[in-house]
Amino acid sequence: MLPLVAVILFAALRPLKVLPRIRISPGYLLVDQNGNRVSSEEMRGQITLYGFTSTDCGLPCVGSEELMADVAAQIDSQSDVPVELVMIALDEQELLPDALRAYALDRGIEPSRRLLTGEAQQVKVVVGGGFNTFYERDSSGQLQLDKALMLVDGLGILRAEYRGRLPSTSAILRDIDLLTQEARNSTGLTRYAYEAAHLFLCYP
Amino acid sequence: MHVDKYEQVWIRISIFVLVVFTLAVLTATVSAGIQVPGVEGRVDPNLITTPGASPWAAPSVRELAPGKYEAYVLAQIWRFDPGEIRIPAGSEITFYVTSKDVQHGLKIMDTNINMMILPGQVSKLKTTFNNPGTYDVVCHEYCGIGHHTMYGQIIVEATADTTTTE
Repeated sequence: MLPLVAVILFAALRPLKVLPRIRISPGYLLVDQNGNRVSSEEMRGQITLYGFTSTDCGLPCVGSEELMADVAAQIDSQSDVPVELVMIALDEQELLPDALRAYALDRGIEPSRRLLTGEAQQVKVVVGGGFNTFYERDSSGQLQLDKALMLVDGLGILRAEYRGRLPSTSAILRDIDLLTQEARNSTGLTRYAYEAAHLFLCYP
Repeated sequence: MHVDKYEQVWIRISIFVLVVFTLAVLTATVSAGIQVPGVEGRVDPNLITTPGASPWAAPSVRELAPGKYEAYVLAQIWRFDPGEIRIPAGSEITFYVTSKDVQHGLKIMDTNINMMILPGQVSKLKTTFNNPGTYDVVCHEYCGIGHHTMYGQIIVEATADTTTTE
């Protein structure tokens, strides 16, 4: 009887909060603004916030770039669980590192964030197929993009999708903090408490 | 107080059934996540046709990546918008469906896609169409005098792969 009461109390009181495990985030091999090849595997062990942009992006990118910059300015760079902020460029052509770097400097993406590029088809598979984020060029060549940010944990699991109306900086920081706490504390017996929190959908 | 032996048995059975049902509801609610529609996946019916406010303002099928599509379908008396969807065979498509006015249903014949469509609520289902052909879409929730005229079609077009393998 006691275990049953404990389970019901846990489900009712929700002493731990976790973010849902949505699905595996897409794998990729892209190039950053310094010409380095970057794979999704390199992001393991750290929390990654993905955003999408392009060098000619207008209205569709308004807000998300500023939000990423705001988050970058407020995250704890000394945390034992590193947080990486990554922008993926949706340009029609794979950008050369010099152009990518110039754009990153121009938009203030350097040095706190990474900007990744790749072949258009490859990027489409990652962003459209993997992150389920729609974008295309209209007849006038303008980028049409659904505003979205993606939060991926250190195991490569997508934990939050921010679509449409973008969230506040504090909401993203809260989610990053939840992932940080989970990564930091989910060991030994506490791990079972976190698994119970997932089982009972203890979401914020 | 004297209680007949058989009545005692049936009282115990009744209590047992109540306990089982209570546990089943608790398990379904807090563990399996089966619950009535919540805030997530809702849309304001008043803004549904406002451009920019909702993807159903311009219902359409969009290609996310090769072989992967999403369809924003708006149900209203007495039609589906878009009424015809074309995708290549082997494509995975996710349907996001809502209603502009009253309760509707969406059933795609010869598939397991079967949704109730409520105003303000987004219904979502994903499926893969492997076989080329025309799939009829019908409303299977009575929605008024023109209910029987509410239908659409999904046309799954053969690709080079499917035509050579069949």
